[in-house]
Amino acid sequence: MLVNKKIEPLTPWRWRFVFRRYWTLCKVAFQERMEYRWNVLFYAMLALLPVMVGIYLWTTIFNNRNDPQAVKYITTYYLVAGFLGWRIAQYQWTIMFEIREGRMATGLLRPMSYPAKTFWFEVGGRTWSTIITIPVFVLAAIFLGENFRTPENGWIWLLVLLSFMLAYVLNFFITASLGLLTVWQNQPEGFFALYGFGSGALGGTMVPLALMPGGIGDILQWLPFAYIYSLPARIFLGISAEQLAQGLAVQVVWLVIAALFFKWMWQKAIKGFEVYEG
Amino acid sequence: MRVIKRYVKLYGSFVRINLMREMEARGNFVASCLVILCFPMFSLIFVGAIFSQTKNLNGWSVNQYLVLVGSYMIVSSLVFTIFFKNVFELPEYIRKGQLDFILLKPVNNQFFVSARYVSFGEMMQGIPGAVLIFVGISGGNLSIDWWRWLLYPVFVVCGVIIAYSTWFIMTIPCIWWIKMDFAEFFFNLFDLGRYHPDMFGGFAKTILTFVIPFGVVAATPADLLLNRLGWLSAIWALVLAGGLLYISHRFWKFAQTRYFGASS
Repeated sequence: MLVNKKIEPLTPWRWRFVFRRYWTLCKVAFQERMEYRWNVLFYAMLALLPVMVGIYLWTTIFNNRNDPQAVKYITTYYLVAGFLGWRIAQYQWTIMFEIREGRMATGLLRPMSYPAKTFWFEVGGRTWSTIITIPVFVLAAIFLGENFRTPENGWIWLLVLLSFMLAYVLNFFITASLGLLTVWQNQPEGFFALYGFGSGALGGTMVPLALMPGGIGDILQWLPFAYIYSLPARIFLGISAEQLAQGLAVQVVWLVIAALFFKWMWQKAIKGFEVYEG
Repeated sequence: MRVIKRYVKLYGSFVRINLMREMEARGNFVASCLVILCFPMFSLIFVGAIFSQTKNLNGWSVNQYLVLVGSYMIVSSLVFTIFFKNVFELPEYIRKGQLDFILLKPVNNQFFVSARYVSFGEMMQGIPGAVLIFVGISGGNLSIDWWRWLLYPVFVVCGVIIAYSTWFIMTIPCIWWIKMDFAEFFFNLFDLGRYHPDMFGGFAKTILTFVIPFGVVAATPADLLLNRLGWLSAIWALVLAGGLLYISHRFWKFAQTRYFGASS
């Protein structure tokens, strides 16, 4: 057995040790990404383009219908969902390369959990790139003027943040499970790219679920993708307390299911894992 | 002529090797084909959402839009079949120092890095694309001259070349910034091909036609079928395809002079 770690009790000292270990990983990733600040800024501007095109398209449609409220809704939705959706990491690629190149084998031998290491390293990198990205999206919001509406209540910002963090972890469990498929299928790039695009589309980045035809949105709102890509944006726009409670509850349920599924996949993958290089 | 023959033969070998590799895992291949066949679902949802809000999008009816989306899917299937795995792997060649060995091979290295792999599963996207075109044409009772069908593949190839060259140009800076990876952004930008520049007003139309020309990749072949293609747009698509391919080649040559190797 490659991994047979004895689980030690989490004493306060050990908690501190575990925290410091992952905090250091976060800092390393943060500093590494800082080196590439101009690239990140360029990425942000590129990521903004499809969002702005979507806004233009829907603004054209709703302006033709003379519906200014819908223009405001769609503008804010696209910008917030575009920004937050872009901040969601696609872990399947990282795991695919690590398995294929045998780097996962060295990761498994380190005195830390491989999934936790992968998770926190990306969180550190994403934190830095988010700091760089915010001004680009703020400028876009200013450019959109009164069509972009901000929440009146400060609590809503906190709820958006909470929902986004849950979405990020939920997406980690799903994409990491997907990445583990590389253990059995060595060429999954096409499938991963399709997932990357498809999950966003089914989650409401391409079209808000409420605008989807034929009741498709009603079905999709129960899939996990809606709780990764559109729930934080919907909270930002303002939903009722009942919808908020229901949304967060479904998000947590999906999080638990995805975590259990990941645990199962991880156990299977470790058994089937073969080192190709390294 | 001998050179062309040699490259055709080489490409034939690449195709054969890739086919053999895909057939090693037939189950996975069939599964990926099935997943890719589901792809048009997203496009249909998108078209359905737009036309549930309006009957006419700046002069575009739902049937005309289906022709555009179908053309986009055909261009997309060719780009992803021929180039996806190749351009996607380029940053990895640089990071792992494999480019050193590629540059030493007695073959045009842009051809080698761009054509070494073929992703057969991606070809499946083209089938629903063709179906959407025929649904759009029959739904809108459009009659299309035979010569338009003959010219259609020419503009599809132009779209493929524009997409490939842009993606390749976007990927080359990896030689300077090894952490740079534009694949995800290429997917996002390429997705703009499902819109026609005419659907937008001034600024966005200019950007989609001239600055980030993904608005041209599927719009030109679709316009040809729908009898909306003007001479200037046709010439622009041809010039853009040739120009971008040339720029990608020159930029690649220039980047090689700045490449120091990463294997050591």
